[in-house]
Amino acid sequence: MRKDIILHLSALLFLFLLEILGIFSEYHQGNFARILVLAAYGVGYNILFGYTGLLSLGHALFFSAGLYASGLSIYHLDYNIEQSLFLAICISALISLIIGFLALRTIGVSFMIVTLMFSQIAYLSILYFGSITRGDEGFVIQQSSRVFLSMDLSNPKIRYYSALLIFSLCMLINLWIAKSPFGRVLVAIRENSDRALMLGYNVKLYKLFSIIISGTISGLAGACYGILFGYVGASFAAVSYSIFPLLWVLIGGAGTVLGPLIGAIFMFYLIDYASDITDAYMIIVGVALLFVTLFARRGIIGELRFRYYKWIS
Amino acid sequence: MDILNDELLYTENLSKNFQGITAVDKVNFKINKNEIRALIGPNGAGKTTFVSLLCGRIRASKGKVFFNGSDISNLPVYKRISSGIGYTFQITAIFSNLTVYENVALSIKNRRDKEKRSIIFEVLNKVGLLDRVSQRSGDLSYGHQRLLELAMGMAQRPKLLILDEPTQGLSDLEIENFKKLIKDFSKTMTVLLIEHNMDVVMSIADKITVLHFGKIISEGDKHSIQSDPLVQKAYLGDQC
Repeated sequence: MRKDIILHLSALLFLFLLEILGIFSEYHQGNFARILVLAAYGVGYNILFGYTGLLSLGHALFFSAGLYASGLSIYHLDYNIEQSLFLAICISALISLIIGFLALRTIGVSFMIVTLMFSQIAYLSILYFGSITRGDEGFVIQQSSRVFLSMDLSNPKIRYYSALLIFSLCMLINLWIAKSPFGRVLVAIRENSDRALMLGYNVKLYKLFSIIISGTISGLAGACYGILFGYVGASFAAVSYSIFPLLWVLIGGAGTVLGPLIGAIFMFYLIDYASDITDAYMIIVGVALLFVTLFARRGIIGELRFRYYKWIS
Repeated sequence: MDILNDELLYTENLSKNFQGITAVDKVNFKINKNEIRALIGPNGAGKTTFVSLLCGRIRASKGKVFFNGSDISNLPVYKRISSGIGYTFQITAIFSNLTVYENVALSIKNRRDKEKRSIIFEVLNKVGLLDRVSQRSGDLSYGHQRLLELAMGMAQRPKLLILDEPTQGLSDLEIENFKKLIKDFSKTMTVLLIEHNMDVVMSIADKITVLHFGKIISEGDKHSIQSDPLVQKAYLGDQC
């Protein structure tokens, strides 16, 4: 257990040192700030998919709920960062509760379809209410509004540290869940929900809690994305933003704490480098993903855990 | 002996229909505390459906279930289990990516860590899996997985443990050990056993209930069951 905690804290320390020692170029610093926020979103997704075994195809709904709750409150109501973050967390949690309550009436493929449908409703609503949301075009959060405790969040250094802070918070919540009896029950539900039920666990309630935690973390990541990068747009509510976290989690390792981060880094740079080589970069990405799936079907961290380091959470 | 005080579970006209087919038909069943009861019957007699009705996996079409003096007919599964009913599946159902220890730990709720650990080691010792405590349960042999499932049921400390065909796929030696374990369990809990292996049934059951086409056709000790022409007919058809 101690080795496990040291590993995860070391990963966070490493990300901190990369910046403080000036190892990053400005380009990679920006990339990594983005990756860390997206990995926080992946952590949220992983709690539902990796730990509880519920495959959602509509997580962009939660990400965009946080993104738009904070973005619109700053844009239209002149909220400060603290107020907008608080609002984003509350709205994400509330939406997760409602969606969870409705979606959990279904299981398996139906659950996937229902979550996808809700997400599409949100996406189309964003486009439909263009007078408020600025539709497809989206809107920019002014630099003057992106100040937190007198710190300018648009400053690349501060942005990186803020992204790292958000990721660290989400990752530590994930680690705590993985180690807790609550997390063990989630894993039991993933492995065999019938058996978990017959051990006396209220499986539906646990699943609902899992959706609320997952959706709230995803919403927080969405809110931070808008605040740190200054842009809120409908593309973040599109179906591709529901597929991305699934890919990060699958590549990094479903049900592992570091999996979403490793998956997000891998995907981000794979697309980045492949798009330098050819316009048809998705072919390269597809082949690479195929190899990862063939040779590390538990994901990178998942495979390491299965083969060598069983103690990794 | 005060029968009312000894009763742990009873049903009143318990019935289940599946789209016009009656799987369980107005069953009135009683089981006393610390009894080992075997529930037998030919394939399709409704045994698994009946025990699923008891623990709430399936909702009854009609009738009531009383457990430990309370009507539990409308309780959801998890509440029935929490009230003291343990159930082990016909097809082995363990958490194969978790260790043996973690599997048993999941069965124990509302206990302090120290107490929990002591229960885990005690039941694993009883079923003979103590040396495999850290092993991934999916890597255990089939026989050991059945024993693990039994340990999980035992660790729940239920008042009534329902075992659905627990000896299926076990070797003769494993079955002998299993019989000893069940005898041991019955000192502290009631056991309801669905079993096809008649040697197991005849050697450990205090009382036997025979189900056929969803109805109880006979009930009693092994001698009365063996000599009951209705039971013979149910098992052998018109040959008897």
